[in-house]
Amino acid sequence: MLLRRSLFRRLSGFDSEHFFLYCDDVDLSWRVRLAGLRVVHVPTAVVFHDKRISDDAALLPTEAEHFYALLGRLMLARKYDRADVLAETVAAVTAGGTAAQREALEEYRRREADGRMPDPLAGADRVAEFVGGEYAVHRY
Amino acid sequence: MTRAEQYRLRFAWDSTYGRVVGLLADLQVPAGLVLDLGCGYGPAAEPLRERGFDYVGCDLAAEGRADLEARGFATHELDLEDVAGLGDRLRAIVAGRRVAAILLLDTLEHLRDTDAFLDALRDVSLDLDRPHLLVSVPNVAHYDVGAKLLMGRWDVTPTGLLDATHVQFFTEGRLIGDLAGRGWRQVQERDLGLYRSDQHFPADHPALQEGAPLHDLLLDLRRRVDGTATVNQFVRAFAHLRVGAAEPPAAVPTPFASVLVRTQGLRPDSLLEALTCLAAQTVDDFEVLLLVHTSDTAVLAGVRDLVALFAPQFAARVRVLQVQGGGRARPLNLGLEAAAGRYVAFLDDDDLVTADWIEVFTQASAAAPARVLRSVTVDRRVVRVRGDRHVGSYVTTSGLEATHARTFDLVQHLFMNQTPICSVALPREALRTFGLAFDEGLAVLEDWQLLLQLVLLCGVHDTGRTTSVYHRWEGADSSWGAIDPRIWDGIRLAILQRFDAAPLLLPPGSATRIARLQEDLAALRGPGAAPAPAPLRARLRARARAAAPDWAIRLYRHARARRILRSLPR
Repeated sequence: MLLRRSLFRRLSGFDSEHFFLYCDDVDLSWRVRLAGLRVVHVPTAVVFHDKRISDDAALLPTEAEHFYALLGRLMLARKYDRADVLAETVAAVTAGGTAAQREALEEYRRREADGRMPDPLAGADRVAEFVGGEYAVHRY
Repeated sequence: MTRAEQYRLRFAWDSTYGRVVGLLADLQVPAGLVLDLGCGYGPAAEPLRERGFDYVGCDLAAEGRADLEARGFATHELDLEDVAGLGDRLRAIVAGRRVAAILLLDTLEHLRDTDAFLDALRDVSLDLDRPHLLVSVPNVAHYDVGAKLLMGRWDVTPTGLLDATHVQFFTEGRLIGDLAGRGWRQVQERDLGLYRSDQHFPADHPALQEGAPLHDLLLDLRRRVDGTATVNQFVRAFAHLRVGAAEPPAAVPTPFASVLVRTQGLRPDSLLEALTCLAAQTVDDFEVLLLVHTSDTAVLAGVRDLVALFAPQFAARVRVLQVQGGGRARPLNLGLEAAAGRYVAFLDDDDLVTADWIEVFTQASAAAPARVLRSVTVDRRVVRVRGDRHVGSYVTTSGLEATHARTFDLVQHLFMNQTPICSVALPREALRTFGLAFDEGLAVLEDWQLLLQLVLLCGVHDTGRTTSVYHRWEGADSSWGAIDPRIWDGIRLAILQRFDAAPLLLPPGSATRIARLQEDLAALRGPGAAPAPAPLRARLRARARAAAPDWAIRLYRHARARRILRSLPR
């Protein structure tokens, strides 16, 4: 990720109040687009993501990944005003989530009760892309 | 017959002596003195004289010398064990004449201290302007000797390979090594081959009987090691090329693994991903041989630039080797030759591995040394997209798919390969010992053949871990798409026929495994596979008809009898 320092400051950088791990980068890129600027993907920039593969050919996420990825998703859906994604995610976790994901859902509800929720952004629907479980069309 | 008379051998062109004369002719050695050290009766003396050589026999034993002198040849008493006086004695015998060759025929194996003798002979040879040295020694690594020793037999005999007077024993490696260490280099060979040596007894021993699986298996293995399995006598010519001993090769540190990365340099983005996976490994005890199969120097330079993108601690472990010509297997074979690691692992430029790929192999190697180490590969289907730099050169069309067997089963692998090459690490010592490499004559399945060859010898250790991703190209981008399935199957059958040529060393558990296959087959075919028993009523009717046809037919006309017959179980 590469962006001008002036822009980073103008957008107040990452939203560290609502995101810890996961979706913080998605949120920043969507706010860049909300500011009327373009986000350019450089596919030849290669990053090694240290994953392990299970016996049945699934990528093995850690507990932390389960927890923060789910919490981040709930926050993102809230911030970008997608009640449908929120409801769908809550239903999926309630029906068959991992322990870490259910814990993340409880944490989300605690924050909601404490009033620690982001305000939905105006014009969010112009930039937010919820594609299945992802936030863009992925190459992989 | 005296001891010396046992060695009174007649000259024959196909004997050691005939071969020595032939070697001198091959090498076009100009006429001069031929010193025959340990000459015995000197059977080669006459043919050498006929060719213009001045033959001189030297030996401690008197009988042979007396015989030679009676035949008109000069001889000298010479004790080859007296190494301190050897130089002076030989210089005195030569007396300033030009020496064409020194013969050392069936002699070295009788000397107690060959090292001291060869040191002394080297010094004399240098003084005498380095004549050719022609040596013959029996091959202690002949199959007959080795197979019997393996079975607990060492049969010393009055003459022959295990002559009772032999105090030293030579293999090809020892002969060449002992002489190379003193500056002699082999220039020609005319070995005496004998499938059945004098040690071929008892002839009915299953290790010696052609056609017996034990014999055929052991001889097949022995033949793969080198070309001397049935050499009875090494007959070799050496030139004294250098004054000093050969420099010992510089000690190369042995990494755990050599990773052979094969690329044509045509998909740099894929190669970058593969190299990134290697740079991310959790252990760094491996070297990378980047085998660039191209004749295009610009492509080669591009690959070098790619390597230079990485941090020095990784880039310094990458050797970029250009490979020109040949098929898919050529770069792999060059990589095998250049590899320094204990194991060899393989990664094509379009495959990916997890960060613990090598670490899992190192753990497996500690648990089961010298086996073929096998992890699991998952597949992912990909398709090439051209000219769109915004998405790279390929996109995936599937998730990860578990398509290969998690554990190695030999029977299953004889039917179909379940082990993509990126899932194994091969023990290099076994490859080297048996001279195994990829068959460059095969259009496909060369990895399958090599894997089976090694597995049959070393066995497999399954790590049980999934550590690599094989990209299965859709469309015409891969060997899967490019090869006609009928050709593919033809190659598969041809490889199986090669394995059929010799007995197979099956792993423990194979007896039950194969028996169960036969049971499964019988169950699948169902009871109808054996001649099915006819229904009981038909059998009764047939028996009745056979016994008394008229009676049976009459009986059947009775309604009651028909009812009884119908009520019988079918």
